[in-house]
Amino acid sequence: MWAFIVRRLGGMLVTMFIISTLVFIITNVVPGSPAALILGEDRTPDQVAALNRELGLDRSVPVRYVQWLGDLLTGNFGTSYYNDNSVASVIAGRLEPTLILTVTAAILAVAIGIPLGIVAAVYQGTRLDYAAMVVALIGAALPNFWLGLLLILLFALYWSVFPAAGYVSVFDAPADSWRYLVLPAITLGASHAGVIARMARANLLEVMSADYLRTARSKGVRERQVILGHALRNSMIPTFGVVGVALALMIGGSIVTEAVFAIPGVGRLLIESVLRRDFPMIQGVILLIALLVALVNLAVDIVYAILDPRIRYE
Amino acid sequence: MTAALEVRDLRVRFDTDTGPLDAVRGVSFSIAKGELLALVGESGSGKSVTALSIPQLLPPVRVSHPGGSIRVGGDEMIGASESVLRGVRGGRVGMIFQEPMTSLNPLQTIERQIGETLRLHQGLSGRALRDRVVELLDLVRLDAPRERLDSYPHQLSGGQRQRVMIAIAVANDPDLLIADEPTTALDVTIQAQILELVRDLRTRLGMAVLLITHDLTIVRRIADRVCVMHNGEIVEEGETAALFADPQHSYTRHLLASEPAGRPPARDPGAPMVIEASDVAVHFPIRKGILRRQVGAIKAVDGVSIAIRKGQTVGVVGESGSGKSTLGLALLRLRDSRGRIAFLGRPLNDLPPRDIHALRRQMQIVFQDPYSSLSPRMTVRQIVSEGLDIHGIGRPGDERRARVAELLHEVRLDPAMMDRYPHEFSGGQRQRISIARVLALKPDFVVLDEPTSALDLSIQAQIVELLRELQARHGLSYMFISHDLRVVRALCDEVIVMRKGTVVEQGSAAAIFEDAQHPYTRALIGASFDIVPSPPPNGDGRGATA
Amino acid sequence: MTKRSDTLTKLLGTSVLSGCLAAGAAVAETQLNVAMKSQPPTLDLHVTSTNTVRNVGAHINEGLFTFDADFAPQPMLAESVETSDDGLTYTIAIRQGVPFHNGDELAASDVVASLDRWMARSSFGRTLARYVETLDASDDHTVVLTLNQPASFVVTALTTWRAGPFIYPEEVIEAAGEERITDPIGTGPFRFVEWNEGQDIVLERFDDYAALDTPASGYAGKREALVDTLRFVFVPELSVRRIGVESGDFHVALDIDPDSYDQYQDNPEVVSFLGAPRMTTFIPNKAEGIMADVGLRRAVQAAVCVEDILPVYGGDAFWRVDPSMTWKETAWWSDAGAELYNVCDTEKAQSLAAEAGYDGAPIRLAVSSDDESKFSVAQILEQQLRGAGFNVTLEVRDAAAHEATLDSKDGWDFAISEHTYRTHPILHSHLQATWTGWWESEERDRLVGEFLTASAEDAARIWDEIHALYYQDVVVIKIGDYFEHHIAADEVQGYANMPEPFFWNVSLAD
Repeated sequence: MWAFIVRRLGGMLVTMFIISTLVFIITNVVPGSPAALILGEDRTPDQVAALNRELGLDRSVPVRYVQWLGDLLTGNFGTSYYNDNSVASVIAGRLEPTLILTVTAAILAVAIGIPLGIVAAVYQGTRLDYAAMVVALIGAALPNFWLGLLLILLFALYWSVFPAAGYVSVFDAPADSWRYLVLPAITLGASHAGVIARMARANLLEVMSADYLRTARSKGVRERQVILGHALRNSMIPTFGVVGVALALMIGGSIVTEAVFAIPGVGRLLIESVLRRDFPMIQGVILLIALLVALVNLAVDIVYAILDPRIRYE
Repeated sequence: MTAALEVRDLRVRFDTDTGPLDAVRGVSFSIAKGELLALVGESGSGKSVTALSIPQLLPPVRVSHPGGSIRVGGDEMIGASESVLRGVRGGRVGMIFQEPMTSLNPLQTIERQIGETLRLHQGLSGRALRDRVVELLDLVRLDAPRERLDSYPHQLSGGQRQRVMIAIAVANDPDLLIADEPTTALDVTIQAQILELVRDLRTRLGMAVLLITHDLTIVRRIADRVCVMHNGEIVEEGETAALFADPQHSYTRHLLASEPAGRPPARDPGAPMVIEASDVAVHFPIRKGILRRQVGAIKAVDGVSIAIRKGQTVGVVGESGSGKSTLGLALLRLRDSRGRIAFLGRPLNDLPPRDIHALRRQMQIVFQDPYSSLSPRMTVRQIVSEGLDIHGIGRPGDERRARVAELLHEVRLDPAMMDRYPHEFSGGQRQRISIARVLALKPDFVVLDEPTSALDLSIQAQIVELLRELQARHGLSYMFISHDLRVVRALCDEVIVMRKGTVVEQGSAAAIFEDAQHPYTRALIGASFDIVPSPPPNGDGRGATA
Repeated sequence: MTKRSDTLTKLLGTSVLSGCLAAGAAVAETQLNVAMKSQPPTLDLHVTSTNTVRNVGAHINEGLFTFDADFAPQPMLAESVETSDDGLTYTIAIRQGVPFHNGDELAASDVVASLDRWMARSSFGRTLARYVETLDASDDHTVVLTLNQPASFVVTALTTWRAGPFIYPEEVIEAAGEERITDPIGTGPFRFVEWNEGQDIVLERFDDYAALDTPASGYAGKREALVDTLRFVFVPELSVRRIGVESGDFHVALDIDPDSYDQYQDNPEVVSFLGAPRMTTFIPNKAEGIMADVGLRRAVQAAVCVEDILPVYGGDAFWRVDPSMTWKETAWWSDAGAELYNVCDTEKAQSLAAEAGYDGAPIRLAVSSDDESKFSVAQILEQQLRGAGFNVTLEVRDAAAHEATLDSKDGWDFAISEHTYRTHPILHSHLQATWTGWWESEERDRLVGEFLTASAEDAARIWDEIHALYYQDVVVIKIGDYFEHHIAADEVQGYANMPEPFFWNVSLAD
């Protein structure tokens, strides 16, 4: 198991290297001038040239790449072109909102999706099943952007239950932070809750016809216990994989939610940085997102092994 | 004294999308205490449905009993409350099922799964529970029972799992044990052990046993009485010996006649060699550690030599994991191997892939599972003509269509059905389609990998007959892989017995079946042909005991 | 941050419960939340003309002069200014007893250091620098500026808002060196507290602020922080900025779509403001390509009909047809050459094009996709020009790529550009030959030279001549003026609607 984890971490390093190279090439090939945006409409050519020199953009792409990679190996992610801050510190500041948002959204998606799927599967073919699946379908089909605005209209404007936008760190004001988190977490979690519900239902239904449930029944086990004690955990293993995928997707997909709710997360940082051609920042954020996704995948594999005695990595 | 089980005029109706389907139509039988009754029939006869009805384990939503009565020790099951039924299930009635691989919960330990039934019915817990579980594992003769307690099902072999199933079934000293095809999925030697165990437990625990099976050999070996089921009805019932000696009903006679029979015709010993392989070895590396260093190898096939002449059949027998299928794939160059392989005198080892592809037309394989080996999205015509398309045989269009019709006719399928999809065919028909597909390429050499194992007995016999006929007509050479020695004897000139990748015995079929040298071979033969009535005067099929 | 969220909660609460809790309670902390579209790249006011920087920074830092409500320069940190008779020496007295946020008192050395840096780094500062001979502190509170030739625009330049000469402490300037200023310390009514990356910038009242006692007028006169904290929140989503004001989460939202204007006229809880006037122009590439030919530029100029284009900026209140390159709000408004504005004559355009020998060659119109209004302008223009026989093709890029395109002489023939409000012609980058579009003209150089050194009366006349030259040379094709739109909750009081928004003298009603 440890050998497996070490090997996977090694594989991650290789993946990171490939991703960073690709991102470097892509960002540096796409046309656009960071200096022009920083200097504004009244810039003069010598100002642009001076800033390009200051940013190191007067050197050739391969030279910049080697420089960047060398810095990276010493743990230096570079400095933002746009606001002159260290990439690592900016990202560190932006990481907390994204992580808290995605984890909350994932918990919400699981807390809603799995019971919904179980109810639908247990009452398969009844109105309850159809109702649950319609809810799941709506959740999965609503565009994030639209759902976010709808929630803001209802809960912030008409009923004044939650603030419209913004972010308060749980470490600064635990009592308040959750109020800022509810609407974005629902927005981000809804589609995944829908998908998880449908998967939980399908997986449970598949397990429901398994031979070992017949064995359990033949032992005189109560139907309730057959489902809770035998079917559920078995059906949860593939469902758990979907949850892992959902979490990985959320990390990359929180961009829209962060923009709508003005949450200062890495997703928004990425979009802003792309629009500004803030190359060091783009590379830093993509590396971070890739790393998080890889770690989530690794965690999923490890949890798989814990849940399922048949899986043993070596 | 009441019977252990009394079934009267049982009817089972399935509510299907196309209307009600009567799966069991007025079945009556009873089992006395300590008696072993076999319910025999082919798939679809209603025997398993009957068995599952006894503890009312059929899904209640779509199943109804339009009539009849099931009494376990005098108590009516039909219409009984859930709590009464829960007391019966696992208590007075224990059950074992066909699929040892899937009948145990993969996520729970052996102890927990056996313990669950003890907790439910006897309220055992703690040390007493654990002691009883060990006692049961000991009873079903699982080695080192204490060490198995924390094992998960996947860590056990099929036979061991079936022993665990039996331990669960007999945990609460049931009056009746229902065994639904308990050995079908097991290797023959394991089959014999499991049957021996059931027979032994019946005596020791004094329980009645209802054995559901399609395997007449098993019935003959251990049943006191037999009920033959066909189309949801019991067509004949009687003492085992009497029924086998003098079957009354035409279906029973048909069933008995379906046992693989006949012998391969005499062969020409000077026929040209089609495939000749020596010292074939297939090793799978075992890698460990961070750097995946190879620390050893699983020797799936190790030093096997085989030679097959034109028009002849070599049978490769062995249990699962013996390497027989891997050997077949190696001969076809579908798997890398060491050792020399020559096809029609040409060495295959160093041929470039392009030449292998050309030769592949002449070397074909038929797989065991007729359900998964045919693409569900292709029509029969597309399946059969696919090889013609790949190898560019015949002109597309009418010419190939005519060839497909001809091939279907040859495997006794109606050519008019060529535009249907595989799911519209039965298992036996699908296996005929697989054979037609292979035949389309006019091969010289065909590997038959357990082609009859998934089929009912009577269908099995027909396929064997068809294979024999095609061999005679086209001069085909077969490598016939099977664990079923009865079919092997009906088809093969030579036999190779494999175990754990190596050959334990090799020789002419006659020599092996008459006078096996190796104890393992003798065990295999013993398990397949044990306790049978004396061979009929014409001596065509029921072999002597080893 | 704890304090901020607490006060926010209180605010949300008080807006509902104020009636019940009016008496007895300690004075609640007040916080004004301003939602803006994006966060500034820096708080260094010298290096960039970006709106976001100024919107925040002008509360922290002040200049020597600033504009009153009539756009006349008034002293801010300067006490007075005296000009020598030859017009070559400016003696500026600095106010005494003005503390920086770090507690140090403002001195002449701070002014000299700030102006030196500004003249080296800001584009307008560098225009002024060409005329400056020396800049020295003659005593602790006096700065002397000598010129190499007379220039009429010195005070105007020192009043600039966009990348203007804001005053920082000398040590902050020194600490920054060649880099951007990272320690925003000033003399303004608000001081910097924290910048939560991507989220907000928080300022709080500077208790020791030395306010002027002249009445407030425009940006000038008495400034007073009437709220305890001023928080700029970055909310990229337009509809969320709007809903936030309606729901009470924000008090002010900047950059709102003009289409919502009518809706707020009927809503007593939200007040709509027209912000700074801006202008849209159509810039020809005069350096390379087909538009280097002034004859062809005149042909295109004749084809443009601005009334069909300007409605993309919203209802009538949001735009105006105006030929001047300087805004109506300033003293520099001009209609010299206006006969060439908004000609809207297809036949004339075609005959001019024929004269110029136009053969239907493709004309590349570059536009940024990030700004919806610019993009709509480009689409309508494309139709108009095609209708007049010009083979125009749109080339759409995102802002970064579009701006990069404008920095290069090849690859485009026309571009849509929007210009933020300027108070003085000299602040127009058009006048510089190095600015995109590359207007090389000896006549222009001569007139600008005269203009900068002329007396006030002569300057207006010379500006008219330059203005006419704009139209003659088709430096840019003006489309028209339009206005920004901001909204505020009705509890926001005392907001002076100047072109650049500011929030001193602004209070929140109970």
